[in-house]
Amino acid sequence: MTSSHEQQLSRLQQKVWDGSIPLEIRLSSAECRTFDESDAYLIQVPRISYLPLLLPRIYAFFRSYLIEPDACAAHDGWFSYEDVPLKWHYPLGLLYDLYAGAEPANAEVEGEGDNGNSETSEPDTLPWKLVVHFTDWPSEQLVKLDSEGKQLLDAFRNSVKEAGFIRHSTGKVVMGLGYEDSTQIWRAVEEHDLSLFNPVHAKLLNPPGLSLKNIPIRLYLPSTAAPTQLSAPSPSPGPASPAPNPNPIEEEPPAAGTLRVFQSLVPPSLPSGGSRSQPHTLGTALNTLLPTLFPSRRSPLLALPVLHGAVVPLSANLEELARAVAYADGFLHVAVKMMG
Amino acid sequence: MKVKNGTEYLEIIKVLGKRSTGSVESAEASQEAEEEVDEEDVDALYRCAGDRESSTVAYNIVFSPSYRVPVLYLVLRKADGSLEQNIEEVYKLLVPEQQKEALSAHGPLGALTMTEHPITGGACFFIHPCQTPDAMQEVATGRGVSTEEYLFIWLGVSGGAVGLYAPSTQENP
Repeated sequence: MTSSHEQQLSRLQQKVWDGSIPLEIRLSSAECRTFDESDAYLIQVPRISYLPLLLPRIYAFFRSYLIEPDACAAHDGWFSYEDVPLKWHYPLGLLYDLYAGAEPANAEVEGEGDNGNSETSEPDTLPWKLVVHFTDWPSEQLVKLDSEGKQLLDAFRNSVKEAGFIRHSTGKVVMGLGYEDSTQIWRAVEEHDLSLFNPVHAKLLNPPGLSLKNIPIRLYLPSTAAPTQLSAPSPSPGPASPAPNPNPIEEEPPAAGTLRVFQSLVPPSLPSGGSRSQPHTLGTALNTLLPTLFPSRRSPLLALPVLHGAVVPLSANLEELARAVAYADGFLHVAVKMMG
Repeated sequence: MKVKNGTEYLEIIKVLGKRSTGSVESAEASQEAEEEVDEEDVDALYRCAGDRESSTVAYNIVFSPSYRVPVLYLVLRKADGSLEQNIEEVYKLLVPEQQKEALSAHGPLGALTMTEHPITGGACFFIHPCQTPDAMQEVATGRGVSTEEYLFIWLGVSGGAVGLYAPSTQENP
């Protein structure tokens, strides 16, 4: 790998961390004293950040509008878009890619280089208009937050642990991070500081003596596709494959507006007999995980992989993607958008 | 067995009676009530639980593609059917006295915390699987096990802590 290639990856990572989304947040009208809409709270939020980090400020801003300000606290706050509660443990960039309905930046379509800035080409989805609520927590869908931010931190840490386990098939690397390092990686998110993130990230990526086993990648499919259109190979659980079930089970249909999440282990290279195995590209990985949606390894025919607001070329090297443009928890959270 | 979003997972629903003073007692009492239910019985089970005092717990066993082990999720519902998110209730209703310290100390069992259900997307409790591979290794090391044996060992390692037991008629490995 040439140093200029490394520099390119490094610049790409910087761009991803610099990416942000303008939010226009209003208080839910059911909770609002004034009959007209409340004023909007406008804020530019990094894509790699998390919504609950905004709550103290937003609560302070809207408190005077609340019908019952003493009945709720900042951590009772939750956000919705078009009446769908937003999962607070998803990074903001992923939520936007999944739900805002924006056209992702596409180098091939626009015929220009990726400038990492889809915001300028889609005025109607920006600023992203969200509603904040401080009552009626949707406890079916969302885990409740606590006043110290512990739930958020735990969810982030669990994700980091999982990514670490996927990479090296052991929990040792993440568990082996000292207190300083594991606090620092979260501080990097809270303070939006890449220089705090990279030293710890490097330790997670390059533990001495361990080779990279699998790439932490997760695919999200907002469900408009019927279940029968998709087929992800089921991983086999271990020593023996389960016997075929004699009682056929009826599949429960996904509820409207739900999200299907696909995850399976993808090694950095294609399985092959020889000593020179081909590295996985995004295209070969998607073709393995979702062959019905990605029948071609080279060209998107039915669906597009979107990461940080941009369509990622299928030819991208998967390991490099994971090193350069993973989210702070170490995962490539890829939104899959149907074409046409 | 249930299927959702193309993934199979196992669901065992247990009706929890009114809480008695000793948590070990209630765990044993409900052990008899616990059995695998298939789709038709689920409705019947919820009808029986019409008694205002009973909460229910649905144990979901889902294979984790990341950790390559079965993971135990718990969906605890209050008597009115709404989702219970208070972790104290899990300890009160399900965890036998002698396991409480082990579970909260994140020992061989991994932490009991809340998370997003990997299939339904809803909120639920789970036992973090990070320790499971090592714990399984310790118990089953050196010998090949069938899937059935593996699950029984796994139930012994993880399930007992939260009131999930293999039926007593089965041989314990």
